[in-house]
Amino acid sequence: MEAFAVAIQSVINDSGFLAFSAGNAIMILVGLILLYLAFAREFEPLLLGPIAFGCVLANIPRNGFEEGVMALISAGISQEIFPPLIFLGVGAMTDFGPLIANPKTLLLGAAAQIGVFVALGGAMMLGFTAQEAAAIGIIGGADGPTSIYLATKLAPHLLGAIAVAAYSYMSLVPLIQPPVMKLFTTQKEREIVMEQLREVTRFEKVVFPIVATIFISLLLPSITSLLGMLMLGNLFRESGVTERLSDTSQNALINTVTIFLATGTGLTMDAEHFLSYQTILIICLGLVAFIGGTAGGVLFGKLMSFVDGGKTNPLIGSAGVSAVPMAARVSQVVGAKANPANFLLMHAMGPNVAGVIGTAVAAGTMLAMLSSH
Amino acid sequence: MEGQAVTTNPWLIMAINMTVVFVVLILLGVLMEIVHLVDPTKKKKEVHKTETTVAAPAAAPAAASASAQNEDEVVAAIVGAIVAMGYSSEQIASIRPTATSAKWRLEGRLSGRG
Repeated sequence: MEAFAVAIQSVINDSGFLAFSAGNAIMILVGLILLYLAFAREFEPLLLGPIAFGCVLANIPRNGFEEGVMALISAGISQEIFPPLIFLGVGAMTDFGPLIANPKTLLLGAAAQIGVFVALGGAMMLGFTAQEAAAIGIIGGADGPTSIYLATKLAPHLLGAIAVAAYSYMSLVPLIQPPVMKLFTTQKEREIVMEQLREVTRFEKVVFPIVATIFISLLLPSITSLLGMLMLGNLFRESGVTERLSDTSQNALINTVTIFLATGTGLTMDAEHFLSYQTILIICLGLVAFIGGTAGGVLFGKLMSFVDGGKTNPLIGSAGVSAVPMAARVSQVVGAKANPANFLLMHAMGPNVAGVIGTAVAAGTMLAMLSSH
Repeated sequence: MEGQAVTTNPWLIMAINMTVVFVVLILLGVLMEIVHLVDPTKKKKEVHKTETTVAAPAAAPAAASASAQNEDEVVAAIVGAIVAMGYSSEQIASIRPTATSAKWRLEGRLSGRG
């Protein structure tokens, strides 16, 4: 009987309940809300689901995550292993054809990065360091892996808040973007029907990832792993002779790495690091970055429409914030509402994939400027 | 994290970064145009297109005769349908094609499925 009492006592002493804090309770509640949004409301369930569950796990006291598989998953993020692997899959899934057919849409991808720098400026004015501000600003790029990559390098202590803000806002793209798009465009502009894109040859599709990798990586070597993997994945897709590699990259590999990346991101959301005034500011700045990026893309789209005599529908500019392919779909939906004969999806894919490259370039530029050498 | 940043002026950081992003993407666009210009497969395609255009007249009579045959079949189908409704073929004054819209054709196809 005494042995039984001792055993019970030791179970109680080792249990997480004794070390359970109010902060842990709040963060578990946050995790449960995110789980609800992911699975009941289907807001980016593939990402938000594991992030939310990771958040719950991270707030179980005495979880022993200092070693074992959870430690390895966390290392996959801190050692910058997962973001480039995700980019390999993204590259294999992405068709750069619309961008190659209409290279001027690169400018829309560049213009949409204005949200990144607006948020960066805002964060610095609110007292964040330049490095922290850069990591926060990249949320506006609507590119989860790049946000995680930059945060790991410039402000690892803010990784959890930045990743959650980035993925949450990415899932809210269909809600955030349309009001901004409508605010900055007239009905007539939204009704513009764009000309069909030219056909892109296999040669162009194969040469593009190679040329882009060499050129951008030489200019901004700090993002070679991100950009290189993106383009390698795309090369698998377009070469036509590496179908198995392409298939693995865009299915099995990306799914596996997504589980690890998202769970690992959730693991950074422990109460000690996440529950702070800074997190609230980051969430607000992330929204500013998204709105700024969308507005920047649309306004530049208006400028392009003015210059080319109304051939460009400004709505495709909003797709420059990355979030592939959701932002392009939003352009399509808003355009089709204004004019049911409008099919903007392929046109919007140009700035959409340009936004991925643009965000990576913005990250590389900020790393070059702000990282301590 | 306090590193040795080039500058801590937010406006300057914003201006420099936006400029770099634009310049890099513009240069990438130029490279894409160069790739398009030097694309050897594009020339082959154009030659192939010309060959197709030259070959087209030879195929034209066959297409014309197929079209005439289709028209006869359409007239026969219309006459058959009218007669089946209880009218005489002598009552048909004329059958003439009118301009049809894409919407009308789509409607026809959809109602055919239903």
